[in-house]
Amino acid sequence: MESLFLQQVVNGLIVGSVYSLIAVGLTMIFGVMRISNFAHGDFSMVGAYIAVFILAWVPGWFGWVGSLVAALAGVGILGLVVERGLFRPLITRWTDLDQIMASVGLFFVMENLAQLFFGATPRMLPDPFQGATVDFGLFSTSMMRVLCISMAVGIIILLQIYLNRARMGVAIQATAQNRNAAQLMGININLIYGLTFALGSALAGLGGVLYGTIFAIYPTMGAIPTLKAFVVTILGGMGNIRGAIFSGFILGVAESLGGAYVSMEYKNAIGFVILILVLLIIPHGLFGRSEE
Amino acid sequence: MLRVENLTVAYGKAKALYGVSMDVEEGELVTLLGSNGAGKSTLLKTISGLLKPTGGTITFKDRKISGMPSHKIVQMGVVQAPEGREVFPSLSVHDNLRMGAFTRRDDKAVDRDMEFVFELFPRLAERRNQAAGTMSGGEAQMLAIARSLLSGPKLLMLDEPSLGLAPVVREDIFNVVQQIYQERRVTILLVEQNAKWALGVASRAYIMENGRIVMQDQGSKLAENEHVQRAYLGY
Repeated sequence: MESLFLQQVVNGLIVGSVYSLIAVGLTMIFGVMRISNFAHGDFSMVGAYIAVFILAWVPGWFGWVGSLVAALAGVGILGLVVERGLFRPLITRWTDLDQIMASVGLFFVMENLAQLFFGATPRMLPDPFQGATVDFGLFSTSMMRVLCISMAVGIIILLQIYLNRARMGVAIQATAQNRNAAQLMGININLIYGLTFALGSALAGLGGVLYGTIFAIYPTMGAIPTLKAFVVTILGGMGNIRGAIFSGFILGVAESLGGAYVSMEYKNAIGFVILILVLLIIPHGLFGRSEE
Repeated sequence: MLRVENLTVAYGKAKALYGVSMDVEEGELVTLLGSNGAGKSTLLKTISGLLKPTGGTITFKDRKISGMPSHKIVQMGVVQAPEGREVFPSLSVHDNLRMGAFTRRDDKAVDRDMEFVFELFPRLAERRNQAAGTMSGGEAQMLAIARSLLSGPKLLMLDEPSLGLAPVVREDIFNVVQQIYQERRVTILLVEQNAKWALGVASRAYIMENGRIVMQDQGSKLAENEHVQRAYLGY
């Protein structure tokens, strides 16, 4: 009984690390640009497909390293293009509703293009460890999942270091906290918007590859990470990066425990139940909103 | 140095500035006086490039800056210190100052300026690792001024530096502004509500009402003007 519980917590932390990674990108984009990107999970889908194709072409470790790098870079560039082509032209004119509709439109376009080009067949990513597992005594897991959580946590730590130390990283935070003051410091906020959107999308892309090590990959898969990322982002406080990191893990563990002890069918609903409860009691999320 | 000619600005259909003309020469301290809603902040925001004028021009050192993006204007040395509550609340004092120096590449000069502002404001040195949002109003105002000095200003625009501060703290801020003007030889455009001090310290002053410049003269002469005395000095 104890080991089942522990096992579920560990499984939850692994899935949660991927939720965190994807949600951090979403919350960053919201914090800096005030855009709720409903196509965020589709950037994860694109990242996952980049890995599918690279691994079909170059199997083994080379393919894996290549997939991760290509997903990060490829989806980052896609983010840059979408920011310049779709969001930036609207940014001075739109209302909140306009940008929400634009991102919902983007979600449909990306899903349909994926169906057209990638086909509807679900795909799996090959396991570079050939199914090897590690036994920690009270719980065990696959090597692949150890790699997954290590990658997610590693990237989140690197991002934190970048945002807190690097000149451009601090400028991203400054812009999120006070857009006008940032401009008065000589920060080119269009550059910051592009950088933030590219970075946030790249994180979603990489998260998509890691997501694909746990779940199946198919053209309409993006909706689930989008919804999960929104739950995590709102739980953590919109625009609050640390809040999103912790909430991702909380959601992963809650889903895993709920699936084991309550009902597997309602696993996906658990996040929303928690969300509604938290919003009823603490409207600004578990960790407070980012500065307006 | 700075020349504003016939500037009009509107928020949507609501006009905020009606053909404002003014100038600041190198080495001057010019005060802009006016009540709330007179258009002082709008003028500063437009000079900084945060608002786009609907008419008229702004030139700095004979280069047209109206229509330029704000980061280019800052790079030219036209720097605005906004009110103290416009600091970056979750960033440390030190990171706020770093952001002030965002456009500068000369690390040594930035380090020298960093030392200068820590001498000028010892309180900031004590609190360099503290989040700016946890500081008092006076400290935040000091930080906003210090941050703008790190941008390497040629023309420094101060937006109501004494707003909402206790009298003792206000004195400190006044002294610092004078020190910056005299020791650093920075040209200053000062927007202030404390008319007595602002007119006393200024080489020249403008009075702004309802989006227009209604008077301009030497600071001391305006201080003797009957309308100014009644409206701004409370005689």
